[in-house]
Amino acid sequence: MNADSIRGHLDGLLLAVLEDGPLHGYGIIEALQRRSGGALEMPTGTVYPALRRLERARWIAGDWDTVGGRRRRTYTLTRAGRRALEEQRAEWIRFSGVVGSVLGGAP
Amino acid sequence: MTPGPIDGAITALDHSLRGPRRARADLLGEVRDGLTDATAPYQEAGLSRAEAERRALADFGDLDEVADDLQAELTARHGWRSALLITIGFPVLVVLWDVVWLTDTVPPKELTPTVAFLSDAIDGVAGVAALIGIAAAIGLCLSARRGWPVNRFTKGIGLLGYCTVAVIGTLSTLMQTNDLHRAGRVMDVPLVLAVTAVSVLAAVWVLAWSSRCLGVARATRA
Repeated sequence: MNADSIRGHLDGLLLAVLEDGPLHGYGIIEALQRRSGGALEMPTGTVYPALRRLERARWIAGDWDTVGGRRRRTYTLTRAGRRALEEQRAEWIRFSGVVGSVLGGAP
Repeated sequence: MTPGPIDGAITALDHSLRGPRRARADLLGEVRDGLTDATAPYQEAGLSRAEAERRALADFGDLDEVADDLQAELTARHGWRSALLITIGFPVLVVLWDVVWLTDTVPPKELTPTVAFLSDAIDGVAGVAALIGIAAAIGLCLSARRGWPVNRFTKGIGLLGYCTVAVIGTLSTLMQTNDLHRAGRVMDVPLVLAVTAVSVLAAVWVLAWSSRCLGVARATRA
C-alpha cells in the first residue's frame, strides 16, 4: 500500500499501535511494519509530526524517558485517544463495508 | 569527527524551521533519535555506518515535506503559548492595577468620570482579549483533530496581541493625559511605578511573541 492511501488513516494506525502500551517514535514505526506484515510503505518521517499533532489533540501524551541509556520521547494513549480510536475503528468498518459493496468481487 | 548524513539532514531541518529554539531542539532531538534507531537494522545486516544512515534517510522520506509538517507543529505550539500569555497576562495586569486603586494611595473618589470610564474600558478590553485567547487555544487543540490550518489561528493570535497592546496602551495614555496633575502625583507612588514597569514589560513580551506568531504563521504551508 502506498503512502497516499495510508495518509488519511495514519491517525487511527498510530493510535491502534499505542493501544498495547507506551512506545517511542521508532518503536511505533517498527510496530506499524510488524503488524502490517511489511505491507505499509510510508515515509518514516511522517510519523514524528503526526505524533506531535496527536499529542496536541490530547489523544496521546508524550514524555521524555530514558530507554536503554538514551533519552527517548515516549507516547501513551490517553482516555480521549481510546475513544477516538474506537470511533475510527467504527468509521473504518462502515467505510470498508460501503466500498466493498460498491466494488463487489470476491474478498 | 566528520558529520554523517543524519547530522546533515538534522542541520538542514534546523535551518528550514522557524520557532522557539527549545521547541525546535525538542522536535529535532526526537527525529535524530528515531533516525539513529533506524540505522541499527542496516548495520546489523553488515552495512557501514554511513551507508546505514543513507538508507535510514531514504526511508525517512522527502525532507522538505517532513519540514512542512514539523513547522505546522511548531507554529501551533507557539500560537498556543501566546494564547495562554494573552489569556492570563492581561487579566493579571487588571488585578494588579485594581490592587493599586484599593491601597488608598490613589483613592477612587479622585477619579474623574472620564478616567473611570477609560479604566472600565481597559478592563473590558483585557477581558475580551482573554476570552478570544481561550477560544483560539481551544481552536488550536481542535485543529489537531479536525485538520484545520494552524497558521490562521496562530496569525490571529499574533494580531490579537498587537491589537490588545495598542488599544490598552492608547486608553492608558488617554487616562494619564486626561488629568495630568493627578497623573504626576500618581507616578510619585512607588507601587504605581512598579506596576507601570510590570505593565510595560508585559506589553513588550506580548508584542515580541505576537511578532513571532506572525513569523511562524508565514513559514507554515498547512
